[in-house]
Amino acid sequence: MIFVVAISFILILLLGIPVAFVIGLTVLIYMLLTGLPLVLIPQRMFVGLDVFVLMAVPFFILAGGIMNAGGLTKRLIRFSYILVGSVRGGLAYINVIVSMIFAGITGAATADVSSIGAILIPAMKKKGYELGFSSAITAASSTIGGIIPPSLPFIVYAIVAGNVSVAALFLAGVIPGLMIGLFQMVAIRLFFINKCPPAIKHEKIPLSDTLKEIRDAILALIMPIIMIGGILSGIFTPTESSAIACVYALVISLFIYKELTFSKLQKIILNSAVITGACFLIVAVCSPFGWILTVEMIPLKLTTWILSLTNNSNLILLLVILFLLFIGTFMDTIAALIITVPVLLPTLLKVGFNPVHVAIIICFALYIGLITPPVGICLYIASSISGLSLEKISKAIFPFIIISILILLSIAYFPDIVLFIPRLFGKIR
Amino acid sequence: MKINIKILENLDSKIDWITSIIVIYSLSLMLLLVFSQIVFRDLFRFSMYGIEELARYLLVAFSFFGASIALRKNELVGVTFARNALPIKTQRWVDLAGIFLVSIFLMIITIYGFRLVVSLLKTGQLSPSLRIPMSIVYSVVPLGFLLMLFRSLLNAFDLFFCCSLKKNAKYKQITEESKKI
Repeated sequence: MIFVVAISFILILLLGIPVAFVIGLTVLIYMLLTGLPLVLIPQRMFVGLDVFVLMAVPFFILAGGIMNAGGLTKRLIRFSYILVGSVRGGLAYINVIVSMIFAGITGAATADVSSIGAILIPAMKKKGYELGFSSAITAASSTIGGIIPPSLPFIVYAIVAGNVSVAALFLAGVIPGLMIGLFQMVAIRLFFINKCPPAIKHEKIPLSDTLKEIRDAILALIMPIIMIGGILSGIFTPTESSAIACVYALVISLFIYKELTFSKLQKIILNSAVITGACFLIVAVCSPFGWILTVEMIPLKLTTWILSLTNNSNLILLLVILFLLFIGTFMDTIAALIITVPVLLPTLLKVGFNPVHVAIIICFALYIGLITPPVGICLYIASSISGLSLEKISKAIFPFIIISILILLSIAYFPDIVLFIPRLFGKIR
Repeated sequence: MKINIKILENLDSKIDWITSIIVIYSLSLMLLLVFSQIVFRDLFRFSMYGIEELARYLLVAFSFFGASIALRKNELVGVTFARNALPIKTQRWVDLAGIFLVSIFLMIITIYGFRLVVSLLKTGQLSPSLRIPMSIVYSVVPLGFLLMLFRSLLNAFDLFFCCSLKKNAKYKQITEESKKI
């Protein structure tokens, strides 16, 4: 019977209807076949969303929206321009640096690519950077957004996996996140410098202007410190940090920069709620779905099956990574996390991997899916901003995908890269 | 026929307006609640009773209502590469079949959601800390799904009568997906 349900899942999936309904219909078919009361579905869906930690999702999206409309993003970019604007490829480096700062405030890659891209892609085009490269670096650097804490995929992962601390995951994401940024900047210097216009000797920026830019940006710059510091010192939980980010951005935009109007704010709130609704519909239907997986003991059966094939933990990890990279090419990160984690996690834990290590690998692998065609959401946004076709950006982004996969593999096989900082803070043994 | 479409459009925009208002205020209120909880706890060492519960219920409410707006705007992500590989004419039939299945699902959840509410009404169960009747709390599920059902039928209507418009919309949908996580 499970076979029938699985086949219908795949058939419905291929129809192209929203993933939430694919899962919902599969659950419905299972319930009808087994004769379980259908009232369980709405009840489980409610329970699946009635989770405090999930609040971080709308709040982080909202914070990103407020930062853009309120002029915080703009000031961060102007500040970075003072740092590296005058070297060759300056705007490309800025793209990565601002993504890293942004990553320290919000937890989602898409907020990153749409806001930074909207400013930097046109600016890079004007300065004579190759358009494909500009779009590619914007999309690629945005993936840092979900790795450097605070991070949305880690929060969702912690809900799905249970018994793993979000704070430990956040800390574990620091080094991989910095690594992506650093490697991307090195790649720009080594491989892409000929796609950047030569540095122009422009007139020296007067010191007073420099100071003004720094003073302007300082309120946005200290935001990551407030967020991460607050979480680590226990003043607020990772979930609450998302609300702090919103309020902080709101206060600065409304009262200090004074760039945010009430009607703009309403639109941003509505937009955040709609994006959240689309995402949480999947979370909701995954609740009865996960329940079925448990009842049918699918994870256990899969674990037994895989272990009967091989006992080599490294090989199993490699297979899992390949599988996740494949899933990520056509599926949304959150949906993929909710579906795959309960199934894959028991196997990985059984062969002796650290839960935090596994979490980072799974989230990172699925996050690479954001920049891989055919369905890379960050690619689509970059494409819609630059007006360049998806194929051209896909070609330009290929080297960055390779870099990400190399970092993923090094994290996978050298767990200390990930586990070092959480150990330092005593979050894991 | 023309008048009917007008009425439908009118109803659509009215519902859109009301849903938007509900969604905006629930999210704002939720932010206010969570933030004040932090402030009261850390500054005044005073934990407010039941705040978290209310915030969670608001989260569920605006998620389902927000999803109905996303459904109408075609912002829900699907795996469309197989569908896109089909010839255009077949695509339309696949889409209609998809909407048909989705509507059946939405209808069943709406019906059983109402049954759930009715059964909670009978038992008179109250929420743990704020003592709100759970029947009211759970009613956001059938209401949200009823809205989604209505919006899904409107999508079917669009697909049936202005097929060419929809073709472009599908491509736009992909860029709109962008806003997702």
